[in-house]
Amino acid sequence: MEAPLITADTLVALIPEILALAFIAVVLLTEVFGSRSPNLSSGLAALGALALAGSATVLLAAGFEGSFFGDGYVVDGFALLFKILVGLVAFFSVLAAARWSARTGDTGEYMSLILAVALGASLLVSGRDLFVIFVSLELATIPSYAMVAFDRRRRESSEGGMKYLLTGVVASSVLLYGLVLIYGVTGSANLSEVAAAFTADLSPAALLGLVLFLSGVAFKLSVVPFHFWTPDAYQGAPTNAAAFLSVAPKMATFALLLRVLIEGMPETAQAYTWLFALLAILSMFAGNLFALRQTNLKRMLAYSSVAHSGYILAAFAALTGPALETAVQAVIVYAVAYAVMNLGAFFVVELVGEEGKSFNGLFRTQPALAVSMAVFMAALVGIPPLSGFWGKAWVIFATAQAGAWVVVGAVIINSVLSVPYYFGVIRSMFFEEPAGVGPVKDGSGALRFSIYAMAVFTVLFAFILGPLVLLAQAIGL
Amino acid sequence: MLALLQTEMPYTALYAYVGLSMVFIVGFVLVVLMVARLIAPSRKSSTQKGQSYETAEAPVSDPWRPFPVRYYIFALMFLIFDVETAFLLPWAVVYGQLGLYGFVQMVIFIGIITLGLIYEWKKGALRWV
Repeated sequence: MEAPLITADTLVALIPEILALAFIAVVLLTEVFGSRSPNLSSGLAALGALALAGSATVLLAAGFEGSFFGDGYVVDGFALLFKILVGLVAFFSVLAAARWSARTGDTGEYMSLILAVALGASLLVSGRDLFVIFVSLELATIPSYAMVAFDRRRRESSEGGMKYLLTGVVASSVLLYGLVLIYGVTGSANLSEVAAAFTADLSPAALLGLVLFLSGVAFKLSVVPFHFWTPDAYQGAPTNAAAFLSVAPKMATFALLLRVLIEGMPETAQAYTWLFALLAILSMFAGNLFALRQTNLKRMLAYSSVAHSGYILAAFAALTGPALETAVQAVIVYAVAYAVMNLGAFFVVELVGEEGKSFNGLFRTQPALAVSMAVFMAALVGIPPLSGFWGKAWVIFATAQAGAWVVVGAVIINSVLSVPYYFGVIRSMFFEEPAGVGPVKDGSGALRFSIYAMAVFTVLFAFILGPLVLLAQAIGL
Repeated sequence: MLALLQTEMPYTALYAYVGLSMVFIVGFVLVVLMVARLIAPSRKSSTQKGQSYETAEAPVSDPWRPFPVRYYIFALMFLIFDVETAFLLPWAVVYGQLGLYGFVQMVIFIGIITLGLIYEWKKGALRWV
């Protein structure tokens, strides 16, 4: 008699996802059955995101671990940490989106899309089976096409959604083809068995599979040369959707990449570390150089997200030998640091407007907002002691430990390179005359609360850093 | 060709055939295009050439025009039942061996799909407007 596939433990392991799914259903059904009150829908969605993060926190605190469904789904500290992060990002994104989505009249649908992406991302970080990984990646991706195209009143939104969809499905099929090749070569979809077949000496088919898989993932992370969809999709998307999509799914995809590489292909590190070094350097330079010329804040932040994906990817160039542990920490620290400063920056854009001109003289009309935006911009450059500095510091520790001095140099050069466009925003807020583009939209209290919360996290990141690194050391991978 | 494949060749050498046929395919297309370029009379663009091909008939109207999307909504809803059937049939075949575990799992699956149907229904997607 085989052991039953589902035990009580399985259900406990799935609590965060079951809660998220239940809240998706409740949010959708209250909109059609009960009142069509947008506040009720967003309140329920915020609760759902908190339930996801909260239940994952409880599981992490209780030290719950295990692997389920024939070792295809694993719950460990690493997965739980990312589930918490995804849940929190979803929570703040729901708050920031509440006022905007109420104006569209389809709050329930929009909120359920956010939760669906969060659900996919939270399944993704637990995947230990290539096909579990693919299905959850698609669950995180398909609702995001709809989120980008959600603003039906603007043509750019449909345009961005269409471009994102068409390029996204190509990337997904490339990724699937890579997974199938890996499965074909190793004879198993399970990462632990993949690891046995992926030795330092790769067969051509295995190498092709690895390259196709990495290309698909690179698309999701908007890494050069797979970044062309990013500016159009982010500019077209509702600003809060761009904020959420540039953080939550990417975070989970970085976690997935760590798990696949460390658990599934540790002995092939020589074959991929140099590839990551190359992609990271290309992304940093391309992102920062293109961002220099943007006048639209959303486009600028899109290119900046390309550059920041590059910074995180730089840590992957150190995924070998003694530097491995530091590299994993660097990815976690950078992901959290990036989440707070980038969400904050996008939220301010949501409130103030996406044209660079709308920021002129903001300090005189809205001092608190202007100071918050200045904090986010300085953090994105990497000014100590703000969050971005610590992320970059850890990436530099890891790459230096691995002896990848070219990558270290590229990270430092790019930090300098990115100063003009981030500080351009600060300059126009503090030293330009208000352009009279119209007053800042009133904005909801929830949105302002999210902005100030992100600003506080960004400034006080040094205090989060210690516990975060200790946690990262304790959970390992 | 088949006889060749059946001989004891190293596995990787068989890739050579795939490679060779790829080179041939690409080469053939390139040669045909080049020959066509060389011997074709000089092209003059005409309005006739830009028209869409309608089996030698003149097109009656512009193809870019609004069309009703109702059908697509129904097609999407059909998909729910279609996918449900595709999963139910193999499940029913081995139902005896699955027992309670299989039953509960299918109930969950159908439950989730039914939620989708209820949502569509209440949203008014079943009304033919």
